[in-house]
Amino acid sequence: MNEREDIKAYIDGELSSERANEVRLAIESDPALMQEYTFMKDTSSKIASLLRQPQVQGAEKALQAARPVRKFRWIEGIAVAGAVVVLGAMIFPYFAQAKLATKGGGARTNVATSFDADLEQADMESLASDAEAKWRDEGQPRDLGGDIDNGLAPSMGAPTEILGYPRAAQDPTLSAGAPMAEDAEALVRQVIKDGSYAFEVADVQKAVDDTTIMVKGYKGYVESNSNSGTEESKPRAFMTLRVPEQHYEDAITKLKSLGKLRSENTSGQDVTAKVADIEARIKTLKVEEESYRELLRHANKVGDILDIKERISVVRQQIESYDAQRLTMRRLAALSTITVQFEEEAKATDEPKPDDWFDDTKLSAILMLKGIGKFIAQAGTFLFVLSPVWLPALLFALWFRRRALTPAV
Amino acid sequence: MHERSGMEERINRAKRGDRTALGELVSEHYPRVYRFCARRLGDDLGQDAAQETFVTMQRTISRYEGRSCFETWLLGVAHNHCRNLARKRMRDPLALDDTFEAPSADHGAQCADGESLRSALEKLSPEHREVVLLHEVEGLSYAEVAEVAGVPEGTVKSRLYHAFRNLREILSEVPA
Repeated sequence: MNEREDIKAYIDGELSSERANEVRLAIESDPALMQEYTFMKDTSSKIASLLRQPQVQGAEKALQAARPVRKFRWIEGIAVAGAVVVLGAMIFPYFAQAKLATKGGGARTNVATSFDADLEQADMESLASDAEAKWRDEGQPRDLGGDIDNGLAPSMGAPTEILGYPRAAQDPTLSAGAPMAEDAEALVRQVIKDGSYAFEVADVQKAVDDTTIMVKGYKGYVESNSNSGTEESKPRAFMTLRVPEQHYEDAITKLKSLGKLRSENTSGQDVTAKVADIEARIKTLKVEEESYRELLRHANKVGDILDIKERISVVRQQIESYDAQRLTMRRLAALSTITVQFEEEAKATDEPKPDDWFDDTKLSAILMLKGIGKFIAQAGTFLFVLSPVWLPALLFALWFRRRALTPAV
Repeated sequence: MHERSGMEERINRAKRGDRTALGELVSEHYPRVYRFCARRLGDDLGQDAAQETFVTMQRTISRYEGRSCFETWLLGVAHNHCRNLARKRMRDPLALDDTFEAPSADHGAQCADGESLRSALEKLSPEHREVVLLHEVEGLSYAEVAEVAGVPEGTVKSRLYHAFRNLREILSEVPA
């Protein structure tokens, strides 16, 4: 091994004793190595003697900085910022809406939260279609239809309940001897509710928007909406709303809080008996249809076959017709109809009150706050949605920075 | 032995967020770290680097596993901060402007005067200058230099030898 390359390590005491001995012997026997050894030793001493010894300063600051660092500080920061954004998005529109309502003079209250506004149109209209599908599911195919397909008589092994009603209430063959009062009690009330209302509001468009949000919140929908108004005439809006029957009263209460009620007209039509009657007819017709089909199976003559087929066709048409009526009535009963007319309040012609400037300023500030809130909410949403893009990059940058500053342990 | 166990105990307490232990570690190691930084970057910038070193220490002390000397680990952090700060200030991270005292005439009696030595050191390659600074100036062992510089110990030994050979060549070219 080359002793020359170990001279420096020998001087620094970094060699094993055995190797150090070898190098020492080599240095003592070789003047060139000795010369090199002397140079290195002298130079090391020189460097040490020339070193600057800086006066220590800044220890106080370093001590002040010596405070426990909370782990995941930045994660907490992001969480807090996210919470603020979400809270802002929830509160600002609500707050601004309430303030704007008071400006109009009406004691308008909130109609729905901002999240209601986010409901998709499909969701809003889903209730009617869901209900319709449910009625279809629970209707003829499952009750009598199923029995007929299986070749069973309605009374043989058939379910004891159809559409939530006792079977006897629908099947005339089973209802013989059962009191009508019992059947009526067992039936769920089917009432078609209608209401017409006219309001005076401070801001027609605002009232329309609030109403739309409210209806969506109740899983209803706006069936029609029309606006009118010129420079000469006051703005008006006409809306037809469809609201689930169970929310009818709540919807009316909230509508009344939007402005001054000018007229009100409500009606209710109990169609429970009618629905039950239609269902009973459908059932009877289906039994009849099945008996014709049985006859058809045994018919041998062409004339008989044609005659039976014609009768089946007539019965089928009647069944379809009654079924459509039943569905329509149930739909009307499930979703109440509310017709609303909004008309703008007559504006005061008086001179502005002395304190109007304050209200205007307040209103402007609220609007600005709403804008800021909206911006923060949008920015937060963007950040959240795009987090799969920027978050890994940020985490990598933080990890890389930390790793770059800390040596391996 | 007792001192070492005391140090380990302080480090463990600091890992748990004990402010007193952190303060003790700062007090104990600040002079060494400050001189290390000040010799590389000057007093003002060295102070910044030293403080950043201790801020990093607080953040990352939980990752210190005690496989190496704590002070060496700390100097490694300081070394990286010095390099980063120098880069930000567009400076040579291994400049020797603040490393040595102003040389006097009687220092160059045998091999070279202080100025010659300094200029010779500046002519070394950055890799050679780095190991010379860490070993000769900071007094780190080969193993410690290897840890701070992030190179194998054998490389440190080889670089030091070649650095001194180069120094000898450079100084021999300087007219007496």
